[in-house]
Amino acid sequence: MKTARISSQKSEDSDSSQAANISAGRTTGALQSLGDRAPNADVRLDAVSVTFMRSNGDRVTAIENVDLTVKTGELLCVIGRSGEGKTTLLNVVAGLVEPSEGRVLVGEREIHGTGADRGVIFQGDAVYPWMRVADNVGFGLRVKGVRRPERERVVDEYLELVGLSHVAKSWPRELSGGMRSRVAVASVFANDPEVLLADEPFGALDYVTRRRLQGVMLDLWQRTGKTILFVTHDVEEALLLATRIIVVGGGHVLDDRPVNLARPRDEEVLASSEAVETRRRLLSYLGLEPGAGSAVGQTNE
Amino acid sequence: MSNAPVRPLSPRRLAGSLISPVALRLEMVVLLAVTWELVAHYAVTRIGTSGEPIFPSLEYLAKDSFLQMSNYWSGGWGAPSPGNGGTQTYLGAVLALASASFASFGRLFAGVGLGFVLGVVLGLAVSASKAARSVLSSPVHFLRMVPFLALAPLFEVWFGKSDIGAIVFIGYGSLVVTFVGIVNAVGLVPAVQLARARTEGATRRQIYRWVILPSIVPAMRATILVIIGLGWTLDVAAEMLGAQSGLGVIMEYALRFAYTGRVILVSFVYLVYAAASFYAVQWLTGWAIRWHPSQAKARRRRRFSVKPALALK
Amino acid sequence: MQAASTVRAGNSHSRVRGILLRLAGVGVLLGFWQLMAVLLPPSRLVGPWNAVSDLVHHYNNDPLISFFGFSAAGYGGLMYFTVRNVIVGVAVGGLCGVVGGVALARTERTRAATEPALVTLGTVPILAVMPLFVIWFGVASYTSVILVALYTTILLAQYAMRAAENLPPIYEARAKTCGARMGTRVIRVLVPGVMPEILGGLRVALAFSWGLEVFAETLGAPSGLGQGIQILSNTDNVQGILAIVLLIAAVALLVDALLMAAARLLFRWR
Ligand SMILES: Nc1ncnc2c1ncn2[C@@H]1O[C@H](COP(=O)(O)OP(=O)(O)O)[C@@H](O)[C@H]1O
Ligand SMILES: [Mg+2]
Repeated sequence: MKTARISSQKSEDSDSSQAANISAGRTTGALQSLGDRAPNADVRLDAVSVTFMRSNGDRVTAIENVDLTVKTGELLCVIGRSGEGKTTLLNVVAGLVEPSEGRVLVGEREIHGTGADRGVIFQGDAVYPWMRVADNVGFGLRVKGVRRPERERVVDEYLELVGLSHVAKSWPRELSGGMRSRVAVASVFANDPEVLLADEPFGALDYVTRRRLQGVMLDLWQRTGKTILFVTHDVEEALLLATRIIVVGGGHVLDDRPVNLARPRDEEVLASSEAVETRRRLLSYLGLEPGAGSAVGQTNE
Repeated sequence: MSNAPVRPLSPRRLAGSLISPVALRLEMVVLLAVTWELVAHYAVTRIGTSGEPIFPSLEYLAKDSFLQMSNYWSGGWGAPSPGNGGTQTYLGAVLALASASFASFGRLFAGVGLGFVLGVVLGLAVSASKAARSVLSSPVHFLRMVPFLALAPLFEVWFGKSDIGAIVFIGYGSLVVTFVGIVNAVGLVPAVQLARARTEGATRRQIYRWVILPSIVPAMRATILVIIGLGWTLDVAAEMLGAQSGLGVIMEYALRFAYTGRVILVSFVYLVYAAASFYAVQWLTGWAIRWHPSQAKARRRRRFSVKPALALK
Repeated sequence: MQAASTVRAGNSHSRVRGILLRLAGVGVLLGFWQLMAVLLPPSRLVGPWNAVSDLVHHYNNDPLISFFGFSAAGYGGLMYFTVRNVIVGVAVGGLCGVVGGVALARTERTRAATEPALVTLGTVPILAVMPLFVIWFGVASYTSVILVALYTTILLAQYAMRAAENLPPIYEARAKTCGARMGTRVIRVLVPGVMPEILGGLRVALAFSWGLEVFAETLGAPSGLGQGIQILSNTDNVQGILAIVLLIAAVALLVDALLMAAARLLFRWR
């Protein structure tokens, strides 16, 4: 059995068609509606396993024989307890980790290594401190060789959408944590990937900021119709965002269910019997009995 | 604020202004000077073998020792050479110091510049390959532990008492320090920042240019500040062991005849040059790290203190 | 260099490879040295083997050195002088620097008054005052010790000051709320808190002090490896100089390794 290695392969964006596609076709129009997006951006994991080698020689199978298809335009939330393989699952799709077995496809293509077709919002702070906010958002476009005027137009547009136009020329250190998260979100959307991967992007933020960023995320998703894999440990966040939720545990997909709640998902919707039932199931998968908040000490985990 | 009320100078406010940070710094300088004078006039008044006071006072340094600097002027530019029977002149002293300083600065900048450029290029090249880093790690650690100053006589054997020898000597020390600093800094670039560049489709070259290089700029600047200090030390060593020109040559002559005043004067000049070039480089390169999170704090604190540069790291 | 810093490729295979690569590095260095020695005349450079055998032969007895009337008869005796001076100088300077630095950092005003002076002193070539010391203190064994101690004091005072400043104030605040007195706070919180950072400074000071001591000795000392180098370079004995340089490097590496081993024991909580 192969062991996974953190792929150090270079990105595979050798075909310049992407660059062309971005500079030409991609205008405000691209932001209009779901219907416009024809291309197949399904993500398919085909019997994927990832085994790590710890430094003491132990093998850890982070995900095992996972089959999963995420349809174009879906917003899939991945939840699970800490250390159960959520990040690994996401990294396999991002191309940051090579699967030990199985393969990953985006559309019809099998992917190896990272590529600008899959954008990632990282768990840690990956905003470059030496670039002003606008340059950060435009980084991916610059990498693709998009010319400055076009780049500036796109950057302005996304800064506007996340409400950061006024700090375009600031250094990241001058922003709050929530604003930096918005920079990360805008950066990824501005790069116009087919698939968007987010790894607990708002985990470190306070409640109010998190709620507002969830709104931003939903708004951008609805405008662009991207396929999104969103990892979170927060059941409420998943209920608020997802069109579908999977629970990952012990390297397997334990549960996989669509979420058909109406949008906008206000307090009323989230208190509906369907939402309550979903929440109860998810919590029990996480080892928490719903309504047992006063009995935390009694849970087995 | 222009419309702030004018407050009378109360005794309390006067006391406060005396212990303000800037005032304290000035007071330190004055305190040092006064202490020096007291020692020179009352504590150590002995005259040495050369007929000069062992612990010369500041006015002796400024008048007598400074004038004697003209002894090291070989004539020309309207100042006679005392060595050839001319009189000692202040112009000659200035010219002697200036030409020695010119030689010292030239060596320093040539050596430090050479070492830094080579160190950055080699450091980046080696950082690109894990195997190269492994191969070079032990030799470089060894070279780092061979005290540079102990190597000075070897460089003298290799290059003779020449400018080239001093420049190569300074360059060698700067190269080793820079190389270690660069490889270290590249290793410390956060993995998530590299991963982000890759997921946005950046090529290896683009990652080097737009992620690795800017992110090691603070380390580069710190390295420059360190090798400026190191460079001056190596410069002193090279000039005292054997050079045809420079402040160290004056110092060596003065030491040979125990001319205390001149030794102290040249030491002072060295100290002033080293500190001045350090602060000049620090100031000039400040813009390169204006994005750095530490700068927000530094700006707030600038009034209170200067950032410590831990020499010879 | 990539995301690899999150992963340790720790299987025995790659570990062996790493060791082999390191050994190859040692080989590269020695090979380069040997090659240059072949290309250059022996009056300029001799190979590593010659240098080592010179070291072994003259460790206990070197006619030249005995001739100059040092108490030491070989490199070993000279080394004893140098090692003793460096250790005494760094120890004395380290103590002064750490105590002074921590004390000065405790109040904003003393720090504001002394830090710029310290920083400025830290930027200057301390070597430039050595001639002065030679005049003032003469060719005595403690002249270079004073230089080393002065350098170490200045450097470590900066490290200590910065370390004390960087220590989160809540550490001391917490000790205070537990009712710890000043003495307890210093011994239990402040000192352990600043020690790891100071250790870094100590390593730097030690590494640089070897060169400082040896160079100071070449300017004038009753013994020491620097005097050995001085004598040998007067007779253009490159082989001997290289042997002494190797000896200094070996001692510096050994003392550094001992310091690190001690630190690992002391700072296991890091
Ligand atoms: N690079 C790695 N090397 C070794 N083990 C790893 C590595 N990455 C993750 N793991 C292991 O794989 C498992 C899943 O980790 P991860 O996917 O990060 O979990 P999650 O994101 O759900 O908290 C954990 O047991 C973790 O220790
Ligand atoms: Mg995770």
